[in-house]
Amino acid sequence: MQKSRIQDLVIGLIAIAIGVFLLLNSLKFPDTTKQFTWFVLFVFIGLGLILVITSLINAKKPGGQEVDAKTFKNPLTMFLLVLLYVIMLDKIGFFVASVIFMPVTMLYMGYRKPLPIIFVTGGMLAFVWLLFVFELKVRLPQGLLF
Amino acid sequence: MFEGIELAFARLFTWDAALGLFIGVVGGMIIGALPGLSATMGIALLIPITYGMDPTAAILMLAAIYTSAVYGGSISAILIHTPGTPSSAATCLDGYPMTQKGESLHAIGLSTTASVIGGVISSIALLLIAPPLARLSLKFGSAEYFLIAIFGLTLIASLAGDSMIKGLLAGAFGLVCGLVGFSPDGYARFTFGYIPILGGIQLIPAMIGLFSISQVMIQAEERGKTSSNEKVEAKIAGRFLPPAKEFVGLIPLILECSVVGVFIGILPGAGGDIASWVGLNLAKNQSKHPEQFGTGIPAGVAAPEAANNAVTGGALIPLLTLGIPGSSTAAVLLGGLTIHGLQPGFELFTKHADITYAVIIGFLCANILMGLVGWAVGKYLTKVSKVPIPLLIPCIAMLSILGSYAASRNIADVYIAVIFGLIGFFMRKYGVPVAPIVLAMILGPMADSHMYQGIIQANTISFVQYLFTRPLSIFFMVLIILALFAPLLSKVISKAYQKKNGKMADAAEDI
Amino acid sequence: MKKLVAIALVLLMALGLVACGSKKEWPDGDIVIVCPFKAGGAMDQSARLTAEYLKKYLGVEVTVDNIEGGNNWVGYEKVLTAKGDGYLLGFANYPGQIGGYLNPSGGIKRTYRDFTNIADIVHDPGIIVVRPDSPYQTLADLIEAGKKEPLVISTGGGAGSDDDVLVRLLNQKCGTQFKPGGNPGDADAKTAMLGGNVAAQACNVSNYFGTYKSTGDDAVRVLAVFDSKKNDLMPDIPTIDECGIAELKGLYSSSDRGLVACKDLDKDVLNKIVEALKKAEKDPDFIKAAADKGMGINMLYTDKFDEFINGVETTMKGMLKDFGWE
Repeated sequence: MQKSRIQDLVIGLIAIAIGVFLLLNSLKFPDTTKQFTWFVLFVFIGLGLILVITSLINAKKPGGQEVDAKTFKNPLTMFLLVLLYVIMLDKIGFFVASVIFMPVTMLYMGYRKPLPIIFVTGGMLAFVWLLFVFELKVRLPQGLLF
Repeated sequence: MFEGIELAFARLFTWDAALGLFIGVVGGMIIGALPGLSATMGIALLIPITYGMDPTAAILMLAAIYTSAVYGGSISAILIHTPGTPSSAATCLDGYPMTQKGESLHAIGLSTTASVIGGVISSIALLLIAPPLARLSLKFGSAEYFLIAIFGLTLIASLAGDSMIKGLLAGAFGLVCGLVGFSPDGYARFTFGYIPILGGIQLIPAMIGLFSISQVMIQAEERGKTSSNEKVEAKIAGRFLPPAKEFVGLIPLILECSVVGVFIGILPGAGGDIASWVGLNLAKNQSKHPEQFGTGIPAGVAAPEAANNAVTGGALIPLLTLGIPGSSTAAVLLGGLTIHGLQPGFELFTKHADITYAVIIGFLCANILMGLVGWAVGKYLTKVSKVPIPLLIPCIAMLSILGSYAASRNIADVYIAVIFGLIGFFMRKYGVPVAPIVLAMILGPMADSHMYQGIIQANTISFVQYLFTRPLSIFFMVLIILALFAPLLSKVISKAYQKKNGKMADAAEDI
Repeated sequence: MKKLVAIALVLLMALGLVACGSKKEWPDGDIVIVCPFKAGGAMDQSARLTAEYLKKYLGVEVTVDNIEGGNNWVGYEKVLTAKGDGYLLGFANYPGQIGGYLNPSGGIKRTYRDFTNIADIVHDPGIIVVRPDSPYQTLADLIEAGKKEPLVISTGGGAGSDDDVLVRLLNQKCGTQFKPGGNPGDADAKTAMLGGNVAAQACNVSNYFGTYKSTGDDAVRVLAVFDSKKNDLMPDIPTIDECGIAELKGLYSSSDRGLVACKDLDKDVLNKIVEALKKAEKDPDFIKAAADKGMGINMLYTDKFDEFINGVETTMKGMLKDFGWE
């Protein structure tokens, strides 16, 4: 079986799994709620099935791009950085969290010149402060300091 | 026909509106020129900034970003062979060869001229077509709105990109996301006791996640490499404005592409990416020397650029009158409208006519201003494309998080943005387009709600019977059947040209 | 001895100063009103107007913070879990809030009793409107027709919204067979009515106060105001008691918006807020600013407010089966 077809197969199976899980959950819904809900879930599960079937039929034929899971290392690390940022945001406030997150990410991405790092971080946050806090009076998450 | 248009001018000539217009044009151009930042994403990020603004200035700014970003995308397409937005993919083919020949400023000048003309024509179309269409919308009931939503959903196929099935699956996933929260009859679906999503998964954080955070993750793959942005040194020489003779020769083509672009824009689902390919094809068919395309000839830049900017005004027509976005960027704009309490439909042209006309006329001004700014800064704009990616990424991430929080001040929405970022990343990696999710998240609840209302309005007869008693409903049902076959056709066409013209387009994306 | 008295006096004064220093008078800093609805809507406008006049009479900055999500319960929860120091208040709407927790599928465990209900501020009476070319000239015409056939009345909200409750109450009192339209908001309800797809629309004074005399595309005929007294914003429309329908005497419906806080709000603070609102109530600028936005002001304070909410809750609890909320 071609790798790209296995990928499609897995996508289809995930869709079916989500669809069936939600369908089971929706059994207790009132009838009027069920109408549209079931219509959508059946379409979703149906399309998942079609993807599974076509990937099995065309198992030997190449199709679509093949993805090497090893290339996910950097993106997933980036995801964790963003997630940490959001958790920090909730605890210590937007500006403090950003002052930590932005330079760390720049360093992580392989940028080493200190001046642009300081300048961009400071500039962007000053811009955000002026626009959101000062001008538009949007309340940003507050923590210990701001 | 244009009730309230005088008031519109009063609204337009304020400092707020002028500032919104200016920020929109310049900001849009920068967003468009930056590869990886599309108009859709730019608008999604900037909607939260418009909260405290006057509605006219806010909507005007967002609409100006739209048209200006589509134009800005051509700058990086021409200079560094990277379409700044998917709409500019076709422009690379002749634009970059012109740069290689040392005619980059000429190419940017051509693209500016064509974009301005395309944009202006589409704004005029918007001004003329939208009000009568809005009046007609007064006759629409829930039955029609239900069918319009279904009609919009059928067009997901045209957003689908490479794999039709995966595109449709993405659309269905969007519908599933739209189910979360209270149903029209007041039952909380799929919330699993988590109270912050009782009102549903909000569109803006979902969108920011799908487009923006997933992009941050994808860009992270470039970690440690010298970014391609830094390597390219664009030569800028020649004159900006095209010579008069050349311009006169191109005018008929530009006009034709503009009209075609407007029509493509009106069709829900089909956007600037398709229009630019169709425009390029028109140019080729009319040329005496079609073999010269791809070697850097003016028509190859002017045609797609006129067509893709003409899409912008066209896409706003169904958006303002029916609430149906003509492109995925327009879908995001819809979010901006509703946030400012502006419900698409006839009220936009009666109760809020002053705002609406101010926006439409302002949109016209935006297209002209875009040309002036392009003319003034064309030379320097190229620098934007050279911002190193490692510095850019954290800024985008920060703005994304900020944007998803400011939208509702609900920290749960930030987590939703992050989760959708992860989902969007995997989908894009495995060739599942994300744009259909957004369209389906808008149209799904609309179909759901209007079906529920329609069933009540049908009263003593069944909903299906009710649909057949209404002439307008029958019209829409015919339209849906036609639409089901149209994307197949348009897909075959755009595929054929992409093949012929090389594999530039990453058409699965937005715009 | 004199010296001793003098020293004692000085000491007393010093003590007094210390006491003053340790317990500062409320309010001593910015006050935030959490509005669980999005900026720009009717709730937000009411909250902002209230904030403006609280600022005027309390002398400190009062800001509105829009916290959305969870069908408004993210914002309410923020209010409920605040400290009782009076620096974080909230804005709530009725019967929306009550519907929010009575609907069992939502899983909200709170009730109105978990709040300190400070004052009902905006009172927006229900109305019923029809198209100008409608065969129903009066409410009585509509009721008669509703007894014969199941007519649909569009509503700006699903089960448990004030419009929906009003339609169901008509059925209860008159034996009509009206169907509430289940429209998600006032805009949809209006489109359905103007497009002639439903017989009538149940809504509120604020929806049509500026345009009910219009003759353009959006012309409507208002049949009745469901309130005990004439409405200042629609002075020529009969109240329900004047409609001459015996079964409907005293059937009042409204959407109300008021100021709330957490349960353990300091008693002194509560009194000070009530005092400030009482001053605002007599301020003609406040009344005028409210009227311009279509908001009728009808202040009910603390116990009276609780009593009012309890009345609405009792009515709604009697309709749980109707709503499908058992």
